[in-house]
Amino acid sequence: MLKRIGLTRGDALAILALLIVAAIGYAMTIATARHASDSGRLYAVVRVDGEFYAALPLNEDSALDVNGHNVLRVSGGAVFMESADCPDKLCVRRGRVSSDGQRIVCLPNRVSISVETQTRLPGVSERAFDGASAK
Amino acid sequence: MKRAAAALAAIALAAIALAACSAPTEHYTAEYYDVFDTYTVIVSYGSPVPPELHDELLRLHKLFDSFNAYPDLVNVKSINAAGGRELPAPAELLELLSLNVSFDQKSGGTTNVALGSVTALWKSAQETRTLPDESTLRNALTHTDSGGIYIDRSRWTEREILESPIALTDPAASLDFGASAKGYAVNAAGKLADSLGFVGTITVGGCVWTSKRMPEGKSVWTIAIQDPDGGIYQTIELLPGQSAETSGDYERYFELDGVRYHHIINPRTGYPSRQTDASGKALRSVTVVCEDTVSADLLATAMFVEREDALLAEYGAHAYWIYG
Repeated sequence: MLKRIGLTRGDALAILALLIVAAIGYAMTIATARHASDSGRLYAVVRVDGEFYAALPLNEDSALDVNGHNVLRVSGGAVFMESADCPDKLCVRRGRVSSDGQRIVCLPNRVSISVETQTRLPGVSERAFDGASAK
Repeated sequence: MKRAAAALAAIALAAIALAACSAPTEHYTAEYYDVFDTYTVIVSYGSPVPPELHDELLRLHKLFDSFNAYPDLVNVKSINAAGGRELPAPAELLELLSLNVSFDQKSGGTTNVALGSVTALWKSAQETRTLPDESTLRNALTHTDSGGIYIDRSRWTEREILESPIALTDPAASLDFGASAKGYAVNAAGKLADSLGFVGTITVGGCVWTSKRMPEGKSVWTIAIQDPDGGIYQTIELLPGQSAETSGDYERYFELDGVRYHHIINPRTGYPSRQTDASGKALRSVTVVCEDTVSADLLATAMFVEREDALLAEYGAHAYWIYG
């Protein structure tokens, strides 16, 4: 039957193999899409002096005291610095941030909060933003 | 059989390709607080942040540090404290000094590298929250002539700047690389990053360097410009390899009797620069986008002191202005 349509056994195997690859590819695309929407969850990633400190999901209201110097709060899908013992309070004045890549930095206390979408455990491999230009 | 083998090979290749597609390029983040008195964040795609980049930033921070001396290093602090004596200055310091001076001449004196006597007064003003005494300030302004910086260029060739003696012929003058050192250091770290095959961004305060190499699936870098009153004002796109620098009045300043005194001093007046648009709104920040980080840094300071669109054009740069 194969010969009648000009195909060898090898051709048939190759076609079968490609069909399998296509099926796997389709399944993986769906899985990736699902994974992406899961990893699209936003977190407020807190670092102190460059070291990972905590990651708070932005879709759950919470508050965090950072070493008794800064208090940050997550509410309504955004994060903000509620209070700080630094002299300039720039971090508090920075207001609410909620989009991937936005950052609040308390320079005197070396505390940073960045909104990130996580793909892996924080501190191991983290998604982050490109850059922020501000002075 | 050969065909079956070929088919298997095709499956293997397809599987590899699929795996590559499904794993998004991962970012690694490193933050530092010990260079240029600001916040540094390096984002690296695909591999961890090379520690050499921070080493390079720190090395140049020390070279241009005007507050601290370091053992076995002639830096800005030691030149300023030499009381007019000659010291052997490292080539990089002289390179940026020359560049800064020639830029300053082009920009009409908006980025004077010899403004240290004046900026020191404003620094202590910020610390004590009292204005500098007017006559003291006026006197300090008379010690800001960059023409008084003596450099022995006799060993230099047309192509190479070498370590050479430097002296401030006016001992009351002092150097301040506030308009260029950060950009110079980030540029150097960027060059090193390129040589390491780095893909990502280096941000030091308001200064952003981007790699020419892009992560898979990305064709531009997205950068946020901060709203001086909090939040994000706008996001802009940088082409691969471009740099951006923001100068603004909203992070380093103090307020006295309702007046804001920020850290960018107009070398011609000795006071914090002030510019307004046609409707009288004050310039709050300017972000300059440019091919190299040193020019971006110098231009951002120059533009914050005095808007000069022709100068931007000369450097192939463009700017985003926030008035308010």
